[in-house]
Amino acid sequence: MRSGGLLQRELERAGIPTISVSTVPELTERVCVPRAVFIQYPFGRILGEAGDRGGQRRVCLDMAELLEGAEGPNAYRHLPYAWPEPPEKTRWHPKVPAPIHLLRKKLKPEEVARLTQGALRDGERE
Amino acid sequence: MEVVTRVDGFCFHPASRERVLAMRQSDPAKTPWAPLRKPLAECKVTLVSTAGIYLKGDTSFDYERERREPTWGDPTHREIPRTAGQDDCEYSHLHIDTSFMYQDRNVAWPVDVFLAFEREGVIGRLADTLYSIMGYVPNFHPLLKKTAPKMAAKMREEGVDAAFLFPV
Repeated sequence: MRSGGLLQRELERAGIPTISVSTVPELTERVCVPRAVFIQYPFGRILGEAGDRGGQRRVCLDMAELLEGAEGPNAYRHLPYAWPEPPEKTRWHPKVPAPIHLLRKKLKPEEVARLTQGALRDGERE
Repeated sequence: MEVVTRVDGFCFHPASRERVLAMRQSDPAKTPWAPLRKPLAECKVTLVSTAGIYLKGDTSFDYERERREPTWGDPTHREIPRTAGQDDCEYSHLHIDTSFMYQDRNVAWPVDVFLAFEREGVIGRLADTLYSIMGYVPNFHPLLKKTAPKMAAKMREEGVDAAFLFPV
């Protein structure tokens, strides 16, 4: 989500008008992007359930509307759509945990924080 | 029918709250801005995913290195032709359940939605080239300094008027 926001800023800076959809407004508003709609859907199904073409279209049309209507940067809109399953029953985790999540389980929280902060400071790694 | 008035970004993953709230706040006064210069119905648009999508037969994102070095993510991108179908691509991001995208890519990669928008005149045209990165990139400088300029150059070359981004 953060990388997507950072990439969006770079494309906009290069002269391409951009709009994104974000499931984590708290993060997107920290990154600051030109235009974004926010939606309370799970990772991996940010536009709706499989086969729900009407719902997927609706979100894309909301994006189109904000792209055309926004008059300046940090243009955000919270979408009203509610996910049909309760959060505890909603699947979004990969079947095999991501490498960083496996690492987090093995290390103490302060060690993980140090590693992650190191990675952020070390953003220039090729 | 339940209505969301303000999106709670931690609804599905409350454990990430502390990590997200610890991130640096950018200065909103410095957010870049490029105005849309014509009605969307006349615009050529492209799509950008962060789901680690690549054409079958193309080079995969580098997950071997991510497994060896979990605070590193592949900062490169892949181009996907608009003609590539649902089953012509891999959906490979390690941090989400991509099985839903294998059922229906439009859950996060709405190529079929935008092809319909083109037929209906909602947009002018969907560009020939669409794009994906793999969104876990703690080492984001190469993404911003090398990958983004390449993507923007290709978009300009194809006359793209606007980009829709779909971070998963």
